[in-house]
Amino acid sequence: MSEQTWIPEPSEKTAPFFDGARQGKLRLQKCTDCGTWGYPPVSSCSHCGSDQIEWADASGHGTVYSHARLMRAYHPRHQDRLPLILAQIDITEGLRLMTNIIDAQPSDVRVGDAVVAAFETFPDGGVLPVFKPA
Amino acid sequence: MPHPMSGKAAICGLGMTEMGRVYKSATDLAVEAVRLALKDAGLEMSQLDGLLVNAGSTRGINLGLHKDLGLKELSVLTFMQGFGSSAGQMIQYAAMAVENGMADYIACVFADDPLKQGKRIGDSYASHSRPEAMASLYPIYGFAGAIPMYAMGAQRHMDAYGTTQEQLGQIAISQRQWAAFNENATMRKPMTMEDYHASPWVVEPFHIVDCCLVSNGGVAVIVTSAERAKDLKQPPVYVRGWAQQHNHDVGYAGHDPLLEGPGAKAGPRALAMADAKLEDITQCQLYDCYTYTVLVTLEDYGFCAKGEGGPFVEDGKLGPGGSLPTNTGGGELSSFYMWGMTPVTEGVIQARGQGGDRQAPNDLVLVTGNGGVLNYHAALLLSPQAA
Repeated sequence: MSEQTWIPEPSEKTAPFFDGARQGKLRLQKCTDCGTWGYPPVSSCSHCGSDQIEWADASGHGTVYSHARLMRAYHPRHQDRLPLILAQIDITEGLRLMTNIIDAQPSDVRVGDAVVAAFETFPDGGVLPVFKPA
Repeated sequence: MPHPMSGKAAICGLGMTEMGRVYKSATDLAVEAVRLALKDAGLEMSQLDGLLVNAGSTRGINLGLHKDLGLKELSVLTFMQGFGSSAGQMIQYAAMAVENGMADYIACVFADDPLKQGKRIGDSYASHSRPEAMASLYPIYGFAGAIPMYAMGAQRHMDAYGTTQEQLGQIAISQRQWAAFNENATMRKPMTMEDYHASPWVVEPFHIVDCCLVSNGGVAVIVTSAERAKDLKQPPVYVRGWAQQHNHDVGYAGHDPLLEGPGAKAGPRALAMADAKLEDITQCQLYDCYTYTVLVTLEDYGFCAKGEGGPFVEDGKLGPGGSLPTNTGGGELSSFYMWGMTPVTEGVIQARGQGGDRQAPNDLVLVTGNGGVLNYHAALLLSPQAA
C-alpha cells in the first residue's frame, strides 16, 4: 500500500469530514430536524428519518467506552508505534467512534477516561481525527 | 406446556468432512458433507427434497449447490446468510418446513475454504478490493476484522468487573482439554496457563489462543420430522427449542453491546419453547470465536450473574469433569472453525450419545451461534428425548 492511498479520495459525501480534520475540527453530520448526530455519513437521519442533514463541528470531548492494543502491524501507519491503542470513544454528541488514543501510555488507559480530539497528519498530507487524554 | 413445535423435528443425519488443512474447494467440501450426512442417516440423494445453503468467509458455495449435488427437483431451496448464526437459523427454518409438510428431508449445508496452499492465512481473509470511502479508514486506525472489537469487549469486561487474563485463559485451557478427546480436533496438545501467557498477542487482551482457528471443511445436517427420524439409522436428535435475536446498536453511545449480547434475549425464548429451565441444560456448545464470546454468552444466558463470568469459569467447570461441560469437542478455539456448525456438530454428537471418551450428560444441550460482533444470534436446544 503506497503512502498516497492512506486517506480515501474524498467524495462529495465525505469531503467535509476530511476538510474539517485539516482545520482541526471533528466535523460530523447532524440532523437539523431532531438534532441526532451521525457518522459515518448518511443520507437520512437514523433516528427520525429526516433528510435534512448538515455538517457540524462536534465539541471533540468524549470518554473511553473501551480500548485494546494492536500488537501486529499490517499498515505503514502502524509501523514503529506498537502497541497502538485502539478505542471506541463516546463523544458528548452521543456517537461512538472507532479511533485511536495517542499520547498515552497503553497500560494507563481505562474505560471512562476523558479524552479530547486530536489530529494526526500523514506523510501524504492527509489528516485523520484521533483522540488523546483530556 | 412446551410450544406445539417443540420436539416435532429432528436432526437425523450429520456429515463432516476432514477439517483444517484440507485443500479442496468449498463446493467439493459441501458435496462431500451432504453425501456423508445422507450415508450417516441411511438416506439416498433422491430422498432429499430440501436444501439450505450457507457460505463461509470465502463465499465459496451458493444457491447453485443443488446442481453440484445433482438434485433435479426440490420443494425447499434457498441461500441464507446470518454469519455465525446461520447454522442455527438453517436448522430452525428446516424444522418449521418439515413440520409444515413443505419437505421431508432438508439438508442444511456449510462449507468454507479460507486456507489456500502456499498462502498465509491473512491473505485469505484480506479484502482484495479497495474498501469504499470511510470504511477504508478502519484498517488505518487498526481495526480489521472482528478481533479488535471482541478484544475491546473483553477489555471493557476487565475494566468494569475485574475479569482477569487468567480467567480468559482458563476458557481456552478447558476447551483444549476437551480437544484431546476429539480425533477431529486440530489442536490437541495440552495447554498450561504458562503456555497461554506465552502465546503471542494479536490485539491485547487477546493472545492467538484466545482466537478461533481458521479451517477448511464442510458440514451438512439433515432435518426431518420426529416421526420419520425414528425409523432411520441414527438416534434422533430432537429440536426442542429455538430462538433468534439480532441486535445492532453500535455507533451510538448509551448502549453496552459488548457487555450484553443478543443471547440475553434469545435464551429465555428458547427455554420457554421447550418448557425448560436454565437448570435443565446439562451441557453447552457455545459459539466461541474468542474466549470472551464464551464468557459473555454464559452470562447472557444467566448461568452466572452479569460480570461474574470470570470467577464462574476459573475453577475449570467448563472442562472435562466440570459441572457445566462446554464445547466438549474443543470448540472453534481448538477443534475447527466451521462458523455456527462447529457447536452444531458437537451438539448432535453429544445428543446422540456418540461422544465416546468425551461424552457428557446430554438431557438438554444448548447450542448457540453468533455472528458479527455480538450482533446476530441463534439458539437451539437439542435432546435425545422428544419431550
